[in-house]
This record gives sequence, C-alpha cells and structure tokens, in this order.
Amino acid sequence: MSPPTPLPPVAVGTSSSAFRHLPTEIIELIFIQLPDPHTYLRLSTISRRFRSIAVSKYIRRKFSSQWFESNCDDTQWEQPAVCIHRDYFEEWKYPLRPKGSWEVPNIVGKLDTQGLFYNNGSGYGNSRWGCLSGWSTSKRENYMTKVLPRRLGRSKKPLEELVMDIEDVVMGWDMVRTWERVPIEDRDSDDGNANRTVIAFRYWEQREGYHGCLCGRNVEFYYERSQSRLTKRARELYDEVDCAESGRDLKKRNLQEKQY
Amino acid sequence: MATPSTQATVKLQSNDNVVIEVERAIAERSVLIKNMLEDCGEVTDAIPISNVNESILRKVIEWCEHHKNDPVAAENENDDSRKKTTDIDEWDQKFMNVDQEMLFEIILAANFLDIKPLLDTGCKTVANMIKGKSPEEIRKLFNIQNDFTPEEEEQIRRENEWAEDR
Repeated sequence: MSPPTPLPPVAVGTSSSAFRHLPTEIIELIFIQLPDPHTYLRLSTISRRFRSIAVSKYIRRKFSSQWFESNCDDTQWEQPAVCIHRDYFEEWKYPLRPKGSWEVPNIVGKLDTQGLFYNNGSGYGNSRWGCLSGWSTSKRENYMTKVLPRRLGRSKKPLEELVMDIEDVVMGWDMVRTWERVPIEDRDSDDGNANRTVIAFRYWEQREGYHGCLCGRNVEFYYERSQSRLTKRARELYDEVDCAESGRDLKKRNLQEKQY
Repeated sequence: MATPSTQATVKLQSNDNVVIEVERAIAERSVLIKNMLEDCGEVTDAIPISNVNESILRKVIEWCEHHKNDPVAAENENDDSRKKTTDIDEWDQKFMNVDQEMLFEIILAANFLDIKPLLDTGCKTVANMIKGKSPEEIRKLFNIQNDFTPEEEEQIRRENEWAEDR
C-alpha cells in the first residue's frame, strides 16, 4: 500500500532499542512466552539482570501455569500427555531443587499429592501415577479451589502453594517430548484416548525415563546413587539394565528398611 | 457533518511529526487510542504518539489493518486466551521477520499503545529466537555482557544441573 519508508537515520549498534534496554516488564513477558523450561533456565544464566527476573516467584509460576495451560488440555486429544511422578513430588523435589536463589517451594510433603494426582476420576485410581492431562482447566480449578482445601483441611495450606513451578515444567516437558517419540502404532490402546497419559508415561518409563531430564529420570537410581555414590561404570551398567522393576523393588526395600 | 460519536478516521502523529490518517476501527486496536477516543469523543486534531517514529507507526498500523477483524480479546485480563506458546500465524511470522532493532521497536510500540496481541506476538517471536540456544549464543545474539564472576557462574551451573537437557 504505502511506499516503503526508509528507516530513520539511527546509527545501528548504538541504538537504544537493544535487547538489554528493553524494560523489565517486557523481558518478563518474553520469559513467560518461552516454549520450554530448558530455554527458561538457560536464559536465566546470561546476566544478573536476567537471573533476577527469572528467579522471581511470580514469573516462574506464571511461566509454569501458562506452559501447562498450553500443553495439558483434554479438549484436544492430540496434545501430549503430561504426568506427574508422585514419588518425584514427595521425595525428590526437595533434594533436587537448587539451593539459594531458587526459593524452595512449600509444597513437598505438605501437599496431599496422593489426593491431587491419585483418585482423579479417570479410572486410574489405584495406580501410582495420576495424570493432570485428563483434566479440563475448569475441573482442575474446581478441584484445587473446592475439593482439595477440604481434603487438606488439617494442614490448611494456602492455595497459592499448590501452583506449578519450574520443576514441574521440566518434568512435563520431558513427558511431552516422550509422547512425541511414541511410535504411532503404540499410541492407540484398548483404553482409548483417555489413557494417552498412561501410554506416554509407560513408554517414558520403559524406554526413555533414565535418559530424560535429571528430575524425570529413574528416581530410584538417583536415590541409590546418593546413598552409595556409585562409580561411573556402575552407573552405566545400571542404566543399561531394564531397571523399571528392579528399581522399584529397590525402592520398596529401602522404604521397608527405613521403617525398621 | 461528522457522524456523532463515530468518526470514520483518526489522525495519528509520529514523534518525527508525520501525520498518518487511519480508519478509526484500525486505530482502536490500540487500547490506548480507543480509550482516548472514548474519553474525548470527537478528536479532529492529530493524536501525538510521542514514543513511536513513523516507520514503526506504519508497521504497527499495517499489523492493525491485517488484524482489524480479529475478535477483540476478552476484557478479563487473566483469561488465558493466549494459547499455545510457540504458535504464531504465518502472516505474523512474516510480519515479524525484521531486524532485531525493529522487532524491539515494534514490541515497545505495542506496549506503549497497549496492543496486547501484537505485544504477545512480538514477545513470542523473541522467545522463539532464544529457543534452544546456549547462554553464550543468547549473549552473542543480543549483545549482552556476562556480568557474573566465574564463581557465580559455577554456582549457577550447579544450581541448574538438576534440569540439564540432554
């Protein structure tokens, strides 16, 4: 339409509109729009200013909730499924959570993860794993604001402590990538669409789990390692064997031992 | 003879004093201008857009023109109508395919004029540029100084170790 307008004579390179001159509110928006948690974490390491923005609780959580909004939606079955590893929540979030500037969240051990991720009405109630992806936004919201507070009555945790944080996105992202790698022929199951989460999870557990993000890897393995400081070779061997079952047994044993 | 309360066009004046006449509906993609028009009723003078130069203003108007029939996002701020993070429609992708400087100028203008979808698209574009890059690559891309001490860097590296992507 209008003829191309020549750019005004601004000296390139000395411009005031460089990335580092963007106001904080815009950098925050960029953080929130990042497509994956690893980019988020990497962007947080480029300078002091970016770090201070990235570690803010508000931005972390905004990014996390936005990410889950975009990736967990039961109205679109093609969306990848996202599982939350119950054990990861209960036992591993604290130790893996970096100390210092990343504020430690208050949810582990206090949040009734069993109630939240277990009997979610998807017919998968007796499993160790629950899923978020089978939930619509309104259902999740309803659950979080109405059902959960009643269940958690004894601990009276404020609701804002139940929100997702960056680790959850790291975990979720790993699941998403896993789902993308599930061969088409494995995607269908007798259980139908509702169990895509389950399929993705099983696949992840069986074939990918040990090689994904650290926090999504075989937690038993890391538990084991932290206990006995395995040598590198031992770790490799451990990775090679199919330890989905044996790992779980180990875990069970460890738990039993703890009780004695 | 102007029709009451609905002028057909408005004049916008860039900070380098160029006046551009646009359809009112297009200008109203900017919440700032929309509110201004609502508050002032008839505006015959050019509205000064003090933070935006002509080339950026034309670019922004071009975007508004293309998107003039988009449904206006719900007033409700927290309603997450911003869907899937990486999705930018094809026209917008082309539109945003400009040099960095201009991209940032567009983002700043969208922020100033309060055009949320354009602001989001701009930020998504930047987010996609960063995607998959190492910290060093990001610093290079945007010319950002690493102001951490080696000790701090090591500390941060350890802090983020838990999440390392393969």
